[in-house]
Amino acid sequence: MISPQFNQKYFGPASITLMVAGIVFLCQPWVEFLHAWSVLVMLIGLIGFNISVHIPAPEQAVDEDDTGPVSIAQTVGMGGGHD
Amino acid sequence: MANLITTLDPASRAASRGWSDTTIRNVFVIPTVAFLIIFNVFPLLYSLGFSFTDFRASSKAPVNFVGFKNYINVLADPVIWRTFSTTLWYVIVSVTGQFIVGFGLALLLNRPLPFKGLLTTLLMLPMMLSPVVVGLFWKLIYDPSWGILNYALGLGPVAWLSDANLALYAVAITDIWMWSPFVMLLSLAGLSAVPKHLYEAASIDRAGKLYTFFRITLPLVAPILLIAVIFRTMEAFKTFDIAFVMTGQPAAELISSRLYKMAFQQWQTGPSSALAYIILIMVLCITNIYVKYLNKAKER
Repeated sequence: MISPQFNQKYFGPASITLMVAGIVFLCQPWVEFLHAWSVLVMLIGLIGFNISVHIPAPEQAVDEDDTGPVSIAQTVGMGGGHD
Repeated sequence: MANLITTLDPASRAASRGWSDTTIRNVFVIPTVAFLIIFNVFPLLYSLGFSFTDFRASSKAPVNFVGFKNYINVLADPVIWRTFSTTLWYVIVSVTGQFIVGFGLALLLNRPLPFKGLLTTLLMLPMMLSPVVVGLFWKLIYDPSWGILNYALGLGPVAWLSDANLALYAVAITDIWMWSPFVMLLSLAGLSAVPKHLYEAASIDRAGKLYTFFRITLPLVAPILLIAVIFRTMEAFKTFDIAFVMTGQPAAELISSRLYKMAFQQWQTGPSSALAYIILIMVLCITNIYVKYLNKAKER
């Protein structure tokens, strides 16, 4: 099981890197070995990416003391403004 | 309105309420899904099966399972390797050209101009033509003996389409001419959606034109430009008709042309199916990468 934190930090970016590397390997005109293994690299990246996008993003830490954005309109509406 | 509905007969009242979900499902959804399965999903899976066999569509010989041999052979073929490299270079040249020309035209048209509507319509004409017609049309323009391009540029008899160094660029120029209006159209939609008050605020702050362009225009238009680039990159990788009609020069052979020759001239159905799947995997990777960055751009 891949944790959301691991997915966001390593697994997702690694999958994208593999897909990009696979495309570059496939189309580069210099090293035959890379061309020969490019499809496998792309396929691993593609499968990894599809797993990665189905893992929910990690929950953001909530600051208990944060009261959120201050709205003047709300403050006035609640009677906090000058009468 | 309520009185009108109550005076109608029951059938008309049902019609005025619209079709039920069951009727919509039976009339629209089921035929569409069936059509997609028969003409898209089934051939896709069937050709996947072919890619693991030595099947030849022109022969009645028994079909044998060969495992990954077709994929290994395709990836070991130096001609296919060269064609992939050529295709990548073609995509880079073509999409970059379309982006520059299309976005440039959109910036020019995004200001008050006389006959702006007519101008926009005229600029969009190339996109509406058939690619084969465009290919044949440009073939005449490039003709070394009496083509108008050599005459207009004052060049000698330059053989654009049979010169190994020029053929690919000649095809790319044609593709740029044809598809820049598409980028222009999307860019124009993005540019017209940029709120005017941002420019007013920038001018109050004495922001320069370049600063305004890079800090306001470009970031706000970027997601829609990215969509244009996604579409054009995927289409450019699959380009067949224009290149096939215009040139037979091996140095300008794109991967789709090679696939066509393997499948329908040499009748190598198994290996050509394997090649088609390799192209599909590549296009899927490109799409996933672009969609990922598109979502990131939207979040910003």
